[in-house]
Amino acid sequence: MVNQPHILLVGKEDYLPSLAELLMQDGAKTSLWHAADTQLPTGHLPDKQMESATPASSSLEKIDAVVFFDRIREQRSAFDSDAIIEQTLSTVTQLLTTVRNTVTKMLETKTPGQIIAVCDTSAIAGRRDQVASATVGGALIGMCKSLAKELGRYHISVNVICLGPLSEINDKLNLTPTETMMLKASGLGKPAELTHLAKNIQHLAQSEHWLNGQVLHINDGLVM
Amino acid sequence: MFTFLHTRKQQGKLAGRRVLLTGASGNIGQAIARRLIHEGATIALHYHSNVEPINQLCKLAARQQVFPLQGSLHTGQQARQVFTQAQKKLGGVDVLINCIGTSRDNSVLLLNDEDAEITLQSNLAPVVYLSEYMLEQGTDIEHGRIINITSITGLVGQPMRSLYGAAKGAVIAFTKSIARDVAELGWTANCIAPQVVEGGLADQMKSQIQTMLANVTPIKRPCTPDDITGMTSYLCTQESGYITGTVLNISGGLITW
Repeated sequence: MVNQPHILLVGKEDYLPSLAELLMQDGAKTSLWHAADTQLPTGHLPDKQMESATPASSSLEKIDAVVFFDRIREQRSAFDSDAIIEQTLSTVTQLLTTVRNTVTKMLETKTPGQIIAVCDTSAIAGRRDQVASATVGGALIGMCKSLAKELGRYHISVNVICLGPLSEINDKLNLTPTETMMLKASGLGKPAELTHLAKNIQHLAQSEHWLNGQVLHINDGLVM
Repeated sequence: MFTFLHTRKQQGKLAGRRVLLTGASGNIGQAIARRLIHEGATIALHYHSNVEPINQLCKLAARQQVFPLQGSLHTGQQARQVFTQAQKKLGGVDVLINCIGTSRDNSVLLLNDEDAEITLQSNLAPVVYLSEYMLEQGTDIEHGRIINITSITGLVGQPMRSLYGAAKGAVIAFTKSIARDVAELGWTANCIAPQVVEGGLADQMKSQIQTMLANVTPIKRPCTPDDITGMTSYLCTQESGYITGTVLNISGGLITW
């Protein structure tokens, strides 16, 4: 078991610094990597490394887990073909770059590693008003399952988290009245808190879970 | 005699159905085309550059049953041109069958952005663009069908095929989403995910891997293009109208979940 995993968080989501704080409270060492064309999040993050444009992995002594985020639902357009294709391509190439860099690092340090991709819950069952999110998420899932089969021989596991609404970012699904009623009756589908996501990432980063090529739904039973 | 041939109506369970079949010159595309011709559909046979199989298919069909349609599908403009031509030839597109794609297979450590772009442009972009144009027909089309031929790679992955897995996974998720959109028109949208099919992309795989795959498949033989045509034909029919948003895997029992 990796007690203090080194976790690299990759993405543009505003809540990543808060997530990094939570992971560090549980004993992880975290670093953030943002693409060159995004702004760095505001707020000071003591004892953390922030890199932009260049892979953060080059400054880490090792990487036990890399968590790749692509779930900016509110920026997705409903059905804009060009946007769907462009966003999917962008996500796939970013994940490709991330995996290449971190796998190289893991192999250099001979570290059993974890690759975790976080996408939107719409990826697994589709969602009418989230065609782009779903398509991007589907690409991540398809890619990660192939990666799991390729990288298993190097003791690198690859899993996906399909994330439902997050309460911290006032994340809401556009539910129909019937869906609202059904969820209210069942008590399911409540938004997650960041601590829920952090706990799952911590669990996956510590390599004791024996999960590989799996899709974990953190959405309080919204999709089963 | 000439008049009889000219005015003879198609017979078969797909008589009257107007189909745009992309990638008709590929192995799977040809098999689907043969089946749909036999079932009486009227078909626009799209191809990119390999015209010879299209010429052979035209010989199988009655007059005015099939129409060759050459064009690229990588950009919106190109795809729209192809779709518009299909609409003109057929008088409308009832069924869109996407049977296109290519693969850049390699270790993830050796793949690059260009590989990603080519793989997504050839597998995902045509599906997305053509679906959009299909939807623009709206209520002019009854019992519309969108059928995307994907791959089990999009469902369960395959080593050294991460980009192909990404592209087919994207197609699957896209199809599930638009199934919800098209439902209010009375249409359906589904995926068919075959195992690695004899010929075509399978020829790029090492023979020992193909043999291994056949051996772990309960039905111990490779998947053939003809294994896919029955389900494709059925999904074109009106009676398949309650099947939507699904991924039908044709894998000989390799994937049972």
